[in-house]
Amino acid sequence: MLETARRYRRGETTPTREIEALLEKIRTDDHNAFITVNAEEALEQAARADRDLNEGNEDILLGVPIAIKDNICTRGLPTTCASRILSNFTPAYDATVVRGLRNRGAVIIGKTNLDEFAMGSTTTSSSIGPSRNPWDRTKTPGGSSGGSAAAVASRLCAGALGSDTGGSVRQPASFCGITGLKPTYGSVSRYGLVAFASSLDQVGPMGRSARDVSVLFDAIRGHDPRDSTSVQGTHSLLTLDGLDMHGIRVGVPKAFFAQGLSEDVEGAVNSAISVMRELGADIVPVDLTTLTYGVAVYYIIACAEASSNLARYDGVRYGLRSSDATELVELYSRTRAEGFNAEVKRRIMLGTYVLSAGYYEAYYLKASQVRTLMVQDFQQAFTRCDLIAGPTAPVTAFGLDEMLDDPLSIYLLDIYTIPASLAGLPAMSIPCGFDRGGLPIGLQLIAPSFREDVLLGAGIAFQDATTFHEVMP
Amino acid sequence: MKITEADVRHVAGLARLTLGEAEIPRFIRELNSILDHMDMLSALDTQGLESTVHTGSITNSLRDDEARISQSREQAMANAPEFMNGVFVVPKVLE
Repeated sequence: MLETARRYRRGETTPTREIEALLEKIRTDDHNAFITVNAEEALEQAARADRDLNEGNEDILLGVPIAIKDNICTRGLPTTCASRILSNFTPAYDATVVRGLRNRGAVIIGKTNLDEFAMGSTTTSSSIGPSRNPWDRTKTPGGSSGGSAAAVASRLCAGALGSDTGGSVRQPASFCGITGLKPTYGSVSRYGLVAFASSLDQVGPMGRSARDVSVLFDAIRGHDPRDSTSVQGTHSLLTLDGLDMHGIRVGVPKAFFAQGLSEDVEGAVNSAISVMRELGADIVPVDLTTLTYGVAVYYIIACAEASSNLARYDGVRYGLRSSDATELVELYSRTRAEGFNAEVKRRIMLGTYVLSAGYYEAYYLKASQVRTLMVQDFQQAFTRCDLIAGPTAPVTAFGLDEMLDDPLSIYLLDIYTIPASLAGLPAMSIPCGFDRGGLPIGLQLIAPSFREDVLLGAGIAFQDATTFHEVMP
Repeated sequence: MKITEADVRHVAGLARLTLGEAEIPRFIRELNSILDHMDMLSALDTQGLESTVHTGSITNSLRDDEARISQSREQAMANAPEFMNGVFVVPKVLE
């Protein structure tokens, strides 16, 4: 993004020429990153940016092509959530984050692929089929924001928005070798983000570098009267300078290096921690003993909230309607059976079960109490450190043909991203190396609430000292 | 086994999902496997612990009670599968 803005200012290209070239590249691209390409409107926005640029508009985002995950509403542009049930849905309004980008002159280049309703970590559970990893087309880009990650990594846009409920920005960022931020819960408006699990969902920026992500985060954050969970008050001051790491205490939880972590990932993350030590950081051990409970807690809470949120898809007011029903309840049930794929049904079933009479206490209530223990665990850890470092995912991108049949084994791969989600904390994945097959590895950094300044500053400092983020697929 | 065929049928009814016959044994298998994992939580003592239902700010967020321009009826209806005379049409509810 900063690079694109610089090329405009140097006169090396213009928004129109840039967007025309990208649209051509997208037409012949085979990563299946986009569900909808916004060609016509993008060219109009580019033409406007050409004029504004000539008039001296200095905004970094002016004319910069941004891709939007297809669960974020865009006025007049289909928003499908990669679901049959919303395949014909066109919002009458922009999500607040999209409106913010448009107001800054950014160009909305298209809507990116995802796991249906953002439920998944592979972008295979999509109505248009899987996206492909730019580093190896036979591998998953991760998910659920896999289309956004693939689009950024293969240079089909300058930056992108994803959404992160349990790792859906960070894990695909890790698998595709880009930088992705899940902001503090409440720092970015959720208005117009199609709800999955409302106590966890956050829109997050994805880019080629921590600086790009910082610019994008600054453009989308802030209080929104339309989202009562978006916080009022002052936000941390962001700069594009790297943080001076001297005296910064980086906590390393032993639990982040447990069984199941691939050797290559462990090695790269340990090297990254050494880089931070060389930059002046103090590396301190911290405890996060509740980490092992995260997957169980998350899938109870997220599925419970999803079962409630997705009750709205009933074939009455918008979306797919089954043509086979003769009475109302049958209309609901058939529409939902025809409109949702297997993973979404599984989560609705699980969520309905854990909230149902007789099981609520044993599952939902229990999980929300253990969530308290996890929040406390982080509070305790942050008395001893300023940042927590560890892997984003236990593995690198795996083959689309190696997909495990057992949903639980896929869920367990979310182990490292889930804790920050449950605690509402800001967390980021940045490239920190490659495995022996040449696939990218992500370092995860977690900060206390609303300390994205520390998180992004540390990411910028790390990237100023390393070149992993500059390597192209 | 925690979840039986009757449970799957009951929950599908609550969730308003018509299940195909082939889906039922799969849900029994998968949901049991996931719930077995979740049972690790029962080993933790959470007696008297507050539950965390959100991590946001605890202040209520209110706005002035003023009418504002929202979507027009046409916009709200634009994605409807079937509508007539300004209302959504659904199949017969009562005989």
